[in-house]
Amino acid sequence: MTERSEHRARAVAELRDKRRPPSGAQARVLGALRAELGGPPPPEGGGSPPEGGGAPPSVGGAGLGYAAKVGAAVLGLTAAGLTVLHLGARGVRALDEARQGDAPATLVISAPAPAPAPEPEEHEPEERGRGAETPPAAPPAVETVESADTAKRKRGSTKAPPAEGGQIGEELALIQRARVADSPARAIDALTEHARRFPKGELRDERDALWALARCEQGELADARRRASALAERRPSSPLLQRMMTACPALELEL
Amino acid sequence: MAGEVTAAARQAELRAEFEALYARHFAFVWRTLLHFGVPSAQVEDAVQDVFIVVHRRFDDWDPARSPRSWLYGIARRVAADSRRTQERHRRKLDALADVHPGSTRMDPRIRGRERLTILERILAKLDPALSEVFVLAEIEGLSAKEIAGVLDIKPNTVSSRLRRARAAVDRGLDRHDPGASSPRLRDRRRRHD
Repeated sequence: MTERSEHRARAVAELRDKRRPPSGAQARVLGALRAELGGPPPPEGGGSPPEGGGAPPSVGGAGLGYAAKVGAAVLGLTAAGLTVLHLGARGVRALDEARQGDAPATLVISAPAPAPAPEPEEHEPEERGRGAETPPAAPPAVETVESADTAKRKRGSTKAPPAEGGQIGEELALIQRARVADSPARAIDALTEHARRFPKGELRDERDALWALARCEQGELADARRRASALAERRPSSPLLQRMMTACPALELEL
Repeated sequence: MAGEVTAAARQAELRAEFEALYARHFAFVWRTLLHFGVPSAQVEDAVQDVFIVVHRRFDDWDPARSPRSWLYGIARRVAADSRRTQERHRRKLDALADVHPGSTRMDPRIRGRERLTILERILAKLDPALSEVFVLAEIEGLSAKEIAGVLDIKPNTVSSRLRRARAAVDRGLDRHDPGASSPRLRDRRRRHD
């Protein structure tokens, strides 16, 4: 291997590492999928099983008992998911709903993960350099994104309820002031006022996230990490966490 | 009764196959979506969308084909959809910014601090046809035949694009850190020091 290709390989490894899914993401998405899909695909149609399918991680025996279990699980998950979405939507959605009238994907709350899945396995590397033994793949089947879109609409119908009284409006105004602030210090001023007036307000998560980022920008990493950790403890699956870590990589080490 | 039991058993079997496919290729789909520009905060939802499509089309999948080719095609479409949504969102944010003339929102400053690897910067400037082949070969380890299948091009075209992409990446890496990969430049620098 030449020095150039070694250098390239290091850069590739760095990028691959950076794009590695965060810990727990696989289980979270699987949980959301199970809640979304409810059960296995319809049995009609012809696909034969792929090689090395593996044992079902959470499927019990076959037969009607399984069907009954799936039915019960779907009902339970749906109820739990709706409850969490209802509660979560009040806090997380309200801000951007009010700002732009259309919820951004960054703030979508995933359905709760009902059962842990196996952690990321990264099988792909073993296939590296496999050469030409794989049969030529046909062009991917034509998919319509509408199907995903429709599913998202079904899944993501987490519209925030209308603001109750004037409090949410006042909270929103303060958070908005922090977001549009022209300096981290001014953002902190607005957030401090929010914390004083609404210590357990609906937009407490947004306050902590913005606070952590403003402190990060000021170079006050200890305080930034403390805020981020508080949010992570309170809402371990909040999409705000990933956003914070992207915006302030120094937090990633601690979360 | 027997028919019901058989149908339920088949459903359980399909569920197991689907979840095995998911477990095996989750990380691949994740990285592919990032490569297509889905923001990291939205990747989780986008992965979910990909596998919802996979689930819906599961019976159509021919296991003799490379699953990664199939998944890549779906991920590309989901990412395109996500980009359109993002664009709509950005336009709304831009409109919102007009309400606060003279103010600087925090978001752009935050975006500016996002960590980009050197290679990401190089790939972002590269011809998409070249960067796509580079990512599939170097990052994902797909064979030339697989890439040809994914992109619907000839294997020779894959090889030629990969050669050009590697040369461009090497040049970019040299520019960033001249001493790291070119012995000649490194020697020259050593003499200069």
